[in-house]
Amino acid sequence: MKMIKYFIYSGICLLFMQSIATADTKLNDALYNQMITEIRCMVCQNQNIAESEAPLAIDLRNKVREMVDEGKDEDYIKKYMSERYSDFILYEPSFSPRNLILWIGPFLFLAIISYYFFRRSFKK
Amino acid sequence: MISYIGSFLILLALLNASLLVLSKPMLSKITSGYDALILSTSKLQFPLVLIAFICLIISFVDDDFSLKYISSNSNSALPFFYKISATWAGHEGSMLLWCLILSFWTFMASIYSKSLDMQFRIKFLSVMGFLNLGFLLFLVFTSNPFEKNISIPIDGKDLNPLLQDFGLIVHPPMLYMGYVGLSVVFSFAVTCLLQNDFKKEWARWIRPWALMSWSFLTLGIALGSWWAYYELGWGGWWFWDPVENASFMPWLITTALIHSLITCEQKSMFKNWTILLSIMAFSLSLLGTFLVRSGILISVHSFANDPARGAFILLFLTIVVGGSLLIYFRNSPKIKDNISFDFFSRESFFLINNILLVTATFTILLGTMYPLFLDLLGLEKISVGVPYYNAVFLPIMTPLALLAGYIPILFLSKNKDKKYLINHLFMSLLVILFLSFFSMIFFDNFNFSTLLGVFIFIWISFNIIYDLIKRYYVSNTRNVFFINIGMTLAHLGLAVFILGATIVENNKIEKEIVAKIGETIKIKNYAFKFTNLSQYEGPNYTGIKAQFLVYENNTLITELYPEKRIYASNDMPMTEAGIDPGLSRDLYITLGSLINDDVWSIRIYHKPFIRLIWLGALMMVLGGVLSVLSKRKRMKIAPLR
Amino acid sequence: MKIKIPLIIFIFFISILFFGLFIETKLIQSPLIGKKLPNYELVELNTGYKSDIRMLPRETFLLNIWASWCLECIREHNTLTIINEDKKLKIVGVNYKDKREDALGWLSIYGNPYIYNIYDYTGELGLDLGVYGVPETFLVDKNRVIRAKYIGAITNDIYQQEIIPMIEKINEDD
Repeated sequence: MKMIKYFIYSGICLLFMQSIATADTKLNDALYNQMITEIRCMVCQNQNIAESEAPLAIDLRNKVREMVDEGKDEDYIKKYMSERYSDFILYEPSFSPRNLILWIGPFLFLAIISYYFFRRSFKK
Repeated sequence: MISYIGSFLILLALLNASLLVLSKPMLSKITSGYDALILSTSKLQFPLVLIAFICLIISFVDDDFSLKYISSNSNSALPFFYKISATWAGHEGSMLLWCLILSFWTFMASIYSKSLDMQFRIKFLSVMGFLNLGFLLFLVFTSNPFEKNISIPIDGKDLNPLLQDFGLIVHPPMLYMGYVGLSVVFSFAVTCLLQNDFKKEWARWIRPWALMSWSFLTLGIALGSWWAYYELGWGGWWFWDPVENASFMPWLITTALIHSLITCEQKSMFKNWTILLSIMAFSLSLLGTFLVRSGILISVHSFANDPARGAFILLFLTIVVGGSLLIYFRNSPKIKDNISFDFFSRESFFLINNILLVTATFTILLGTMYPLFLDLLGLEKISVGVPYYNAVFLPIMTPLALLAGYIPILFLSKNKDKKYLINHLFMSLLVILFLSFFSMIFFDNFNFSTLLGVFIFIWISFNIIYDLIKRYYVSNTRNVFFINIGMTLAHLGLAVFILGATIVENNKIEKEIVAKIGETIKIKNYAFKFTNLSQYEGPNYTGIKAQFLVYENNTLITELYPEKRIYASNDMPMTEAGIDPGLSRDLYITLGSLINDDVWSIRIYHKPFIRLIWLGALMMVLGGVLSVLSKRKRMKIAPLR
Repeated sequence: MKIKIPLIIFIFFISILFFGLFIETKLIQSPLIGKKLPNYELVELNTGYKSDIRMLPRETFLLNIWASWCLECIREHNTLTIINEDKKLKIVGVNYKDKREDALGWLSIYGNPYIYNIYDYTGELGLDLGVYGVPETFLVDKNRVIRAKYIGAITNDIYQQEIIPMIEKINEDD
């Protein structure tokens, strides 16, 4: 019966989940690690500060570490960086009117292209 | 001496390509023997460029610093194998490699096109000749690897240390095989337009070529990802770097193309769309070449910037893409294309597949070009990176991945389609809800992304394998497993890739810590003991090597040796990671910087299931290759209608 | 199929690529222009006395970020000396992530056009100013508001063609 198939699914999924979902996030320092990959190195501009060995990158990593330890959140850290270095230093483009096309574009494109094809293709 | 031969051969190749292109227009009025000329010049191109390339390699090995290209990319202390691979490390040499591979594909297209009718074949090879000519002109006039130095230096500069690596040797050639292979598909599509027709047999003929290019591209991209992972020292495998995007976009379009060709071949639908995809695929290839070599975007891959070269490539791009698009708009109305099918049908799936892939391509193009666009408007410079693509690209790809689970439906008869589909849709939704609810109760580290990734993996692989087994029991022959083995393997590879990528990105552990010799760092049930630090001299660098003993559950399992290297030619220290690979997890250590005396900053990573990413990619490559091979067998059995 | 729309899109795209060849990619705009200088609590390089924002000149001046390990700063030094002799503009220096002895030694070799130097050993002030590549120079008005930023060595041309007109504009605004 078809139902059995789907319950086998669930079982396998659960087994997988159990073996994976033991990541110790306290050890992870998630915010710090996330932030250093989202901040661009201003000296070696093709790298993020996690990767770059430039002195500025090291300084910025320390600054992020400092802010994370002080309990500051993601928005604060990003604002701190962009106030001094402009939006360029952040790998996530801001949600400002200037970036509207960037954020809306893909979904608009999807809508337009779907409409076009579905209208053309189906038997009336 | 050798370099003069190389130079000369390049000019010969240029001449040969010109002959290939001009034969038909110039000679068709005079004689009908131009057929033979086109066939021979299309084959001759390859040996000419090949020997020139070999001349360049020999010059590198001989330390011929009279050549500007060699003195900029190599020196006498460079290890032997890297002298060879340095041939394609810089702009000029890699352009020669491009021309070589293009001549190779032209050669193959010439030999294997006997089943096409002569008229078509001639035009097809002429278009390829045109591409050969364009690239050789670019090479000779702006990027000649055989250009001489005004004064011969005693020794050369060094090969960028990052490139002194096995990965460099294989990644570019494989990638180029893919990129350039798309020129065959492109030329074919343009020829179809010129013939005002697109027969079923033609779609069948071109599909293996598209598959072959796709396989090479997949391999090239996977190699680049793996190389970046172990070489760049922070464990990342994809950065959405503009040049990475430039290779990914043709891959997405080629994937769409492969699926579209099937519809073309079986139902004779979407002919014009397939042609357009073929043009787009190669255009994106050319765009990629332009982006890497023009200096227009900031990227880790950029060759030396030169606006003049950029302008030349742009001109070529405009002519090729603009020209083919013009021909498309003029001729495609003449190609009879009857598109109509049911909503619940196989064609629908292929259409959705194409729509999603093209949208994904557009998204990446938008993200890559947007900063440039704003800059040109005089607005602020911005950056578009990983967070953007994760937010926009992943939602588009998820439905696509789910679609792959419906492959078994493709084999059902039409009547069952609708009911089966609705059932499937309903049940899959139920399953996700059920699992989410359960997971939230039992696990405290509930992560929806991991759940989704695991679900997609099981959804695709279970559906495919269950269906195969079912059909085996019905038909009682093992043939069932081998009929579409390429397709099966490729889609399973996709599932494996998604599993690996999802798990590692959502469950990885990264610890940055300060330690000195004798200290032990713990992650999960692993312990890393920092036991030694020593300095040593490499062939062209000074290295500092650290030793870590790795224990799992208090048993010693391995030793890792992360290093820092300072090359004589370069100021920036290079990091070599110490990696313990495993299918279920990678352990990854890098040395940071010296804090004071004997205290170092260390980074330790635990990356669960990261190898599945490249395993999945390899499965896809193998699947593509098997598809080509089994097709050829079937083509020999079933004659062309 | 209509060709007009795709044609326009194509031309648009190629134009972006074409004009993109000629823009300068590395220089990034500063978000601090129009904003007041950040507060700081550091010491003066030579004397070791406390130095903060209140001690800056009460007129339009240049704030120049430099270091003894910076090669471009040597190139710039000629221009700074000329600016100093011109007496139109005072220059305050920020010695960035440098060793005191090296910095003082450098000044004695190449000359000292600065009225005084702020000693930013850790780079904290540099961070607050968004410095990423010395030398960098800020044009600051009498209200401590940053009016312009110049990344890279200042040349005589930049002084004549950009800085002096900027000073005049600031004077007009008052």
